[in-house]
Amino acid sequence: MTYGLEILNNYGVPVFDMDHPCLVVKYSGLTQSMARPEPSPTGFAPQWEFAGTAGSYVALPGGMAWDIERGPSTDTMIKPVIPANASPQDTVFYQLGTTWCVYAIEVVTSLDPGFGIPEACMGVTTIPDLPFKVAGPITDTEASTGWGMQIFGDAGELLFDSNCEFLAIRYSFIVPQAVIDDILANGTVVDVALPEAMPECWIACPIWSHQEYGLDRVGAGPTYYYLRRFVEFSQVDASTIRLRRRQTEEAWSTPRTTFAYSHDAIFYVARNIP
Amino acid sequence: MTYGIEFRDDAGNLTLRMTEAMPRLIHSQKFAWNYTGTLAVPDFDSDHGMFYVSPCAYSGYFSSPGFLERDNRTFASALAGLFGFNGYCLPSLSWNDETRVMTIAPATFPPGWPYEHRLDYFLNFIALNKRFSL
Repeated sequence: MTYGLEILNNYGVPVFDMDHPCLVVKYSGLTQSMARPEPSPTGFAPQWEFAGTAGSYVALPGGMAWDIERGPSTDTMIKPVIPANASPQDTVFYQLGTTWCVYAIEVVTSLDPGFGIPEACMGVTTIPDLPFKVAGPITDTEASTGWGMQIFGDAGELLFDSNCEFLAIRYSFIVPQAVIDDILANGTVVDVALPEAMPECWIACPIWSHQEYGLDRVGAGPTYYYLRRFVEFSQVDASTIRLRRRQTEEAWSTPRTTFAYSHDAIFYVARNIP
Repeated sequence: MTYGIEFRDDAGNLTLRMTEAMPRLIHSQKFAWNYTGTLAVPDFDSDHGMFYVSPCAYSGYFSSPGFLERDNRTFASALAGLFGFNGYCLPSLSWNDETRVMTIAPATFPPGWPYEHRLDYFLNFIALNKRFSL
C-alpha cells in the first residue's frame, strides 16, 4: 500500500482495505409465509405482482408454484425478498435459533430486458417469521452524512461507512459433498463446532437445496410412494451447528425416477450484535 | 481492548472488535452456464474468505422476445416462474491456493436427474475473518 488506511486485527488480518467494498446490511425483517398452493393445471398461477419500482414486489395469496415439485411438502413457502438496493452479490443471513432449515436458496433475478428490474439476489426459505438480514457490498446509496468514518477507493467509490449496519461475519466453512452424502445415505448426524460461542448467530448458506435423494418405494400404480431425503441444519447450542437427515414419503400418481444429487455446502456465520 | 480500533452502534453495541475483520466483496463475475476455463483472483485468500455461486434464474427464457405475448403470461407469473424449474446443477469449481486461480467447468448431471437446467451464474468471492475446516 502506498497510501491510505491499513488496520490489521489481532491476527494480522486486514480489517479494511482500500480496494474492496465492505458488506453492509441492506435489508432486514422477518420472513413472511404464503399459503401453500395446490398444483394448477397450467403450472403457474399469478402469485406475484409488480408494484412499479424495484423493491416493491409483493406476494399475492397463493404462494409460489415452484415448490410443488421440489420442497418437502410439509413446509410453508416464504415470500422472497428483493430489497430496492439489491445486487447480485448479496447474501441472506437467517437467525435460526433452534429452528431446522431444510431449504434456503439464493438466485439472481435475471429478467431484464423486458421487466425493468435489475439483476439482484433473491433469497427464499421455507420458515415463516424467521429473522433475516440481507448483506451486500456497500454503494454510494448507503453513504451517510455527519459524524463517523468513511473509506473511499481510488475512483472515489465508497468502501466503508461506520454509520452503516454491519454483520460481524466471523467464520465460514464448507461441508464437503462426502459428508452430505453420508448424512443422506446413512442418517449420520454431523455437529459443526464453531470456534467460539456465538449465541443466536446469523447463518447464510447461499445454496441449500438439491441435497436430496429420491427413491421409488412402490412401483405399482395407481399410487406411487416416493421416499425423499434432505439435509437440514440448525444451531442447537451457542457453539454447535448440527446437520441431520430429514426423510419424507410422498404419494404420486405417476412413477418417479430414482436419483440423487448433492454438492459441497458453504456456510457463513455472523455473531449476533444485540 | 488495550489498543486498536473499535466501532459501536448508536446503542453502544460493539459492532467491530480487533479480533474481527470487515467482510468485503473481493471479486464478482458472471459466467455463462457452459463456461470452461480459469479465473485468477489474486486478492482472494481462502484462509480468510469464501466463494459461492449465485445462479441466475432463467434469463434466456424469460427475457426472450415475445415471451409475454407468446405464453400469455404476466410479469407476476414470470417472476413466480423464476423457481418454476429450479432443478439445476451447480458448476464444477476448483480453487488453487498457490496460484489463486479458479478452474471452472460446466455442471454435469447425476444419473437419473430429472431436470435439464444449467444456469448462468455469478461467482462471488468474500473476504472475512476466518475460514475453518470440518
